[in-house]
Amino acid sequence: MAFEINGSSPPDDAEPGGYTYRYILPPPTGLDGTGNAVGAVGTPEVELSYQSLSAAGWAYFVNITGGSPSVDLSSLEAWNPYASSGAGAWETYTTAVMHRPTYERTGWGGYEGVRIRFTGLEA
Amino acid sequence: MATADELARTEAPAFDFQMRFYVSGPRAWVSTANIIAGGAYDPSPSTETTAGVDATSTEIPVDSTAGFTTGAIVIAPTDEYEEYEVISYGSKDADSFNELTRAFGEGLDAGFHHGVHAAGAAVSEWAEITGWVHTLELGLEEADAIATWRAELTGTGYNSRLMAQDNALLGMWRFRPANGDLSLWTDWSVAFIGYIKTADVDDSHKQEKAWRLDVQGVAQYLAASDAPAHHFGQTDLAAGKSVRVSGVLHDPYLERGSGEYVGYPSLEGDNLVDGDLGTVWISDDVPTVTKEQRFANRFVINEVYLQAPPGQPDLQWLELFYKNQDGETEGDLKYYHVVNGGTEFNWVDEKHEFPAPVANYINLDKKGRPMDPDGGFAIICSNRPRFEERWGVGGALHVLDWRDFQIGTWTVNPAGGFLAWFYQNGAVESIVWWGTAVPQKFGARGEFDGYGPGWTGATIPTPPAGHSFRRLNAGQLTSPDSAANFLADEPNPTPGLAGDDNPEWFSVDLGALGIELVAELAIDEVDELQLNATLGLLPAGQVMIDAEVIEYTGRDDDNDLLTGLTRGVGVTDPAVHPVESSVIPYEDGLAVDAHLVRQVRWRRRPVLNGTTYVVPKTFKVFFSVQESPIYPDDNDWDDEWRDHWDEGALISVVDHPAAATEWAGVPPGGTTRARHVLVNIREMSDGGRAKMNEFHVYAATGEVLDGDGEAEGATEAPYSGEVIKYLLVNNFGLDESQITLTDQGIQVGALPTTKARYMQVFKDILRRTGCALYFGLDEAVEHRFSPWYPLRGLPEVDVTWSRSNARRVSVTRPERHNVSQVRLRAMNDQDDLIYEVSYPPRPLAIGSELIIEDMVLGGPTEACLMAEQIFRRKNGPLRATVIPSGPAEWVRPGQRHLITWTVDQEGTLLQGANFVVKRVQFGINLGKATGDAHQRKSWDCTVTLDELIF
Repeated sequence: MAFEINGSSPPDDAEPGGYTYRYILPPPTGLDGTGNAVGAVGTPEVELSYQSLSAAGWAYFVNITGGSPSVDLSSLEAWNPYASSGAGAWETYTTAVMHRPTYERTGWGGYEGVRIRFTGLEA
Repeated sequence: MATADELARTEAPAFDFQMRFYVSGPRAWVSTANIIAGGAYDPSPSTETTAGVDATSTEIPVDSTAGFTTGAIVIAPTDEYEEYEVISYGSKDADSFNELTRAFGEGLDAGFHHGVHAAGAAVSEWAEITGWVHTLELGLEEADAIATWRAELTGTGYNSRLMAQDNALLGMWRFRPANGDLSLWTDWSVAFIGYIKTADVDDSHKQEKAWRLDVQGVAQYLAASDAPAHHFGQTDLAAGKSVRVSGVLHDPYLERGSGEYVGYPSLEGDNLVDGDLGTVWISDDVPTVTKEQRFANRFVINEVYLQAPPGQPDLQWLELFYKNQDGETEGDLKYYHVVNGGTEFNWVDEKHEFPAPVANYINLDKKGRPMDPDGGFAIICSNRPRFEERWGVGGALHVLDWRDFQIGTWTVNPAGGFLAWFYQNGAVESIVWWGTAVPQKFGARGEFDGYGPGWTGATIPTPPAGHSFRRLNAGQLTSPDSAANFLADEPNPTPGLAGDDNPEWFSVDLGALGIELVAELAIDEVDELQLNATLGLLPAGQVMIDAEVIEYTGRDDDNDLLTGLTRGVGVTDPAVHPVESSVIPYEDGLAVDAHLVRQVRWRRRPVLNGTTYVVPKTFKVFFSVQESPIYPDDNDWDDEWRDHWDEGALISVVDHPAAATEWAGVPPGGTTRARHVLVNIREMSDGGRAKMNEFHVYAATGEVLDGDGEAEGATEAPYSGEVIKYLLVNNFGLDESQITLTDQGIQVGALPTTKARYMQVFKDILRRTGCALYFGLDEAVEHRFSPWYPLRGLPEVDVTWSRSNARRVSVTRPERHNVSQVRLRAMNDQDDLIYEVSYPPRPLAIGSELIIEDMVLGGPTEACLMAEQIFRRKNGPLRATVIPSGPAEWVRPGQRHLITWTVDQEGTLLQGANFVVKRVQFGINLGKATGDAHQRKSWDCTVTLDELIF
């Protein structure tokens, strides 16, 4: 299995992994009176951070969101490092929202400082 | 009460929520009665137009109307040239919506693309706007005993058709974990259903069309609408009116041991209509029930009063009764003298013939003072001004001061002696002996034993001071006379009165109706008459204004109107009638400016005389429409009362049971017109003075709620909650099923409400009755006793906040020296009780006195409790703020929460401390992107609570 959006994989040079991929569980928003973390609201998120992304890779992602700031996905295949008691596992989310990619600057043949956010992940 | 699942979610370290938002038409169009906060609801019914629609279309053809229930639809645009349109429909077929009300928006015409929709356009019961909503601030707060809520939504993509003022906005939510499973969602349920109050739009070069909506529940309309004036309950026409009485007990000490009063209060007739069962009217004289037989024995000494009570001015008198057997021959005082043991006579012989006294007697031989041959009284007293101050003239034909007539010295010894009524030509006509007098054979020189002629046997025992001795029947004697003919100790002397001439009475002047035009009535007006009041007018009938009789077919009490007019009835002619023209009921060919009375009622405070409650036993109630009728003290009463009082409406009660301390009666025929109502008390259960605490005269018209808050014309006093329910349902138009009377409130005898904002009327009623009103997150309204004043019970505990289910607790101990004493004045007009209580009994040295008026409570005990509650609530109750760990979406104002959290070194301040929720605020971010900035989804809840003192 590999990272897929709506059943399609990114170009090879845009395949997330290593430094580019982050799976985020909702953080607690506070501690209860005994000091335990509470208030973790919502669903997991996935954030892709590319120091440099090729034009093809950029086009792949932008093509999904189109002109909208976000788009509901029909499926998202993502790596959950918290699954399987920390061993991690690929999971398929049937509900997710992909937000329009942002970048910091253009570079040779691509874009630098690209961030792509996937929220509302639900299996 | 919070469910176990809700409480578990509140403690959960992680949770999630989702919300959806929908818009439909304004409240007037949308039926939302079946949308219940916390309940399931399906906002999804939708269909499509099957043909094009334009601005002039009178029906919307669709695939199917199945599932549409609210009465409004929203048509979505199919392209950039169309727009959303909200439409109200009055009916629907299987495939079309009919009887349309269409609005294109203020200032917009049905031109261009307004109202134009292509075939295939989506038609929904609710238009979903979830994608445009970014944040929600939902706040619920109790203030002045009314809990309301408001929601503030923000987002982007403002749509002026959907987000218009008054449009219904529905919020739905769901949560997880459910049943402890973080992967399980609860069912979608209604979060709130409200109406857009204001809409703000903000835009810049970003062209986000950012908006902010203020959404509130039905309370916003109640705060902006006037409730019509009402007379709920039994309108007491007598309350506070002018009272006339036969007399007022002059010497209260005479009833000092009766238990009627303490101290030296006013015993005036006004006490009858002051709404206070604790005040009393006591007659000066004692009423009699049966007609005393009056004996025709010419002049007879009938009653003697020998000494005033201690502390009262000296006073003595004797009462003479005269009646002639033929009923024609007048007696005259001028032929008589009054003599006693000190009188000196010029004795003629030894046969008790003594033609004239010569000294120490009373000589009435002056001008003529005739007596009524049919029977009458005369008084000869030691001090006429003092006598009249004490008893008045009463029924006596003459009241003479013996100082004006005495020859020589004249003294009457209370310890013993005699008084004789002496004909000037030499004969004793009546004599009475009393006390310790030694037989001296007055007027006899040997022929008589004992006390001499005209008397046999012992003397009459001297009565106690303040009492008299009197004959059992006026004029009754034997020959010779004796003590057996006398009541030796009459505790209630009745100079100048006897038998049926002595009812005690009170009468209330109800005043005129006082109905006037508040708007000029044009000569051709046939729709309505605008009045200042309708109380006293029949549901349909005739009225006279100036010289015109007008017939009407309807009476609108809410708006003070008469409707369906026929002008110039009978021989009268239509005319213009200016403002403030009197409007008088016209019945049976007569204009009668008098109230329509349904019932009269009296109440006695339960007072025992021995084992008997002191209540009227025999009495009559009279009604008069005259402005100035005569009263029973009038000499012409017996002959002329029918000319002044309606004999047909007379209520006569004989042998009213002594166990019943209240009585209510209905005039024969059910109702009667009355300007005055008179009660003649002819006998009290204990044979004593007439006593009465409260008298009510209830109007036949007016709005009366029974215990269910529905029936008009019932006789029961309404509960305060029923009054609020009536206003919400019958006047404002809420569905009856939306009103929950968890507590009916306080029963009030009468509760007039003025024309004012609904919320203002409610606040006043709630403040006076110690109740509270809770507006739900839908159209539901709950009425119950205020949890701040737990007079009738405490709310159940919803939750105990502790370190395991809350993140933070803050406590404020506010300033405590605000009120030095609470003085609370309350009434219970159902039981005619008025009382004032203070807490603490002595004011504190610091703080201000707080006076609270017009409370309606069950009794003094409740009033004391409430005064204490108010005092303690004003003087520094704890206020706490709790941040729950989880969503706590179930928290509502009015709930009772406990806090167990050690915040002090002693560990005592918040250990199971009781609080009531004052306010709860939810700050919700739905996690939408704003431009390219991503917002994290979040949920914050803050609960503000005030200490519950009990």
